[in-house]
Amino acid sequence: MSEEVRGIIEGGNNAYDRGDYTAAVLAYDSAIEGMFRRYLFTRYNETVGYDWRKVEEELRTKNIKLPRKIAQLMSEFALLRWKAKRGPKYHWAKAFEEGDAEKYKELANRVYVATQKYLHKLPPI
Amino acid sequence: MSGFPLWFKLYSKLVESHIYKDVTFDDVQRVLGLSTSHAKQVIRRLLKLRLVVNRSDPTDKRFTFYRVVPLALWSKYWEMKDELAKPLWDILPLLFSIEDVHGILLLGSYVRRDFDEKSDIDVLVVSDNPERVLDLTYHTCLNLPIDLHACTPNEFKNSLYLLVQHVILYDDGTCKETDVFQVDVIKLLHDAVEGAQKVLNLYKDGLVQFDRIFPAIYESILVDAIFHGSTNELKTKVLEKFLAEHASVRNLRGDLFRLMAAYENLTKGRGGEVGPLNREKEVEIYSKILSEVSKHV
Repeated sequence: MSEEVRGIIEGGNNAYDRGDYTAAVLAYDSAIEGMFRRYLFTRYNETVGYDWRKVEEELRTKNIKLPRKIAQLMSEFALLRWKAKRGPKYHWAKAFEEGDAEKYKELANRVYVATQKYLHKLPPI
Repeated sequence: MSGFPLWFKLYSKLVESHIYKDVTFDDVQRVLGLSTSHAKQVIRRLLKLRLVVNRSDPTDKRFTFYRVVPLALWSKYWEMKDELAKPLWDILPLLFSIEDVHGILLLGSYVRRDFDEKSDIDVLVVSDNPERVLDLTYHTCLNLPIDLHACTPNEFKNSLYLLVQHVILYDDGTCKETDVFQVDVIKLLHDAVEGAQKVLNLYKDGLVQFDRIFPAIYESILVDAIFHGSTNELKTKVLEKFLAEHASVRNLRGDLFRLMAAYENLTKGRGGEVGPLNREKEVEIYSKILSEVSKHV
């Protein structure tokens, strides 16, 4: 299963290398979300809501305390998503720049390293 | 200022020296040379009145910064406070404490009145520095049902935001002087289709999921409906309008409504589920929709 995640990150890397930063951000974003979901499902048998700002709190109400490192990565992801809501488009298809793609790329790699032991179980990403 | 209460003296000093800046507790103490307990007492009063707001540092939650709300903007906030939804009571003064905020608008379900307990209030901030706005508001919005969007005045002038239902909460003239009839809807359609096509290609390759492709496609449908004169933005009405204008995709009605319901469930409920149809079928549907919308471009 972690090959599937690697595949998405690779897709992001390819888009990044050809300068298509919007495609790169979208792929990294999808990979990061998928990794977190698999991590939570494999380790805690939990599926969580869509808003990553609230996931840590949601889990806390179920008496699940995330390791500090994972909570920190999740909070960075939520912040990146929050800051992606800039620009003239109302819905998701934003135009991202190189700086955004770099931040996403770095985070995707760190999340992969932190969660790779837990990426073998569903849910599919 | 000898006859004024201490909280007012402190506020005046902070306005003089720390407007539009992050202020630490030490700064607050230093302004009037107050003791820690005295300064805490006075700052509590200012926070209660929302003449001063606080925010956490995104990189280190242990530190709290204070920000001063300019009196003229605070008066606007105070006047409309009772008519505002409670979640806006915290965010509005914070936005007023940021330099170069030109406009604050409400959008989405809250304005359309199809708001429910799981909906967020959509707020658009028009600012010279949208990134800074999003940075400063993140922690305040963490526990509030608020979804913040930010754009520059230039982006606003040619955006879809002008064409959807909105309520202006604050405007320094930037929003009102923008002529809605100058918005190039064909260009918006072109951009929406181009953006959606990009996401669709990624979706085909398995690089993004349903929660990314559906809103991109929906943006194209919404602009198309507006292009055809739709003024109702309820999602079901937008889809109906689109189908009414495009006879060749009417057979997709059931699938489209199912996809929309799945998206609503996803964003308001549990994340991570796949779409209600298989990816191949979805790609076929989205391609047909984009091809229809493209006819106007």
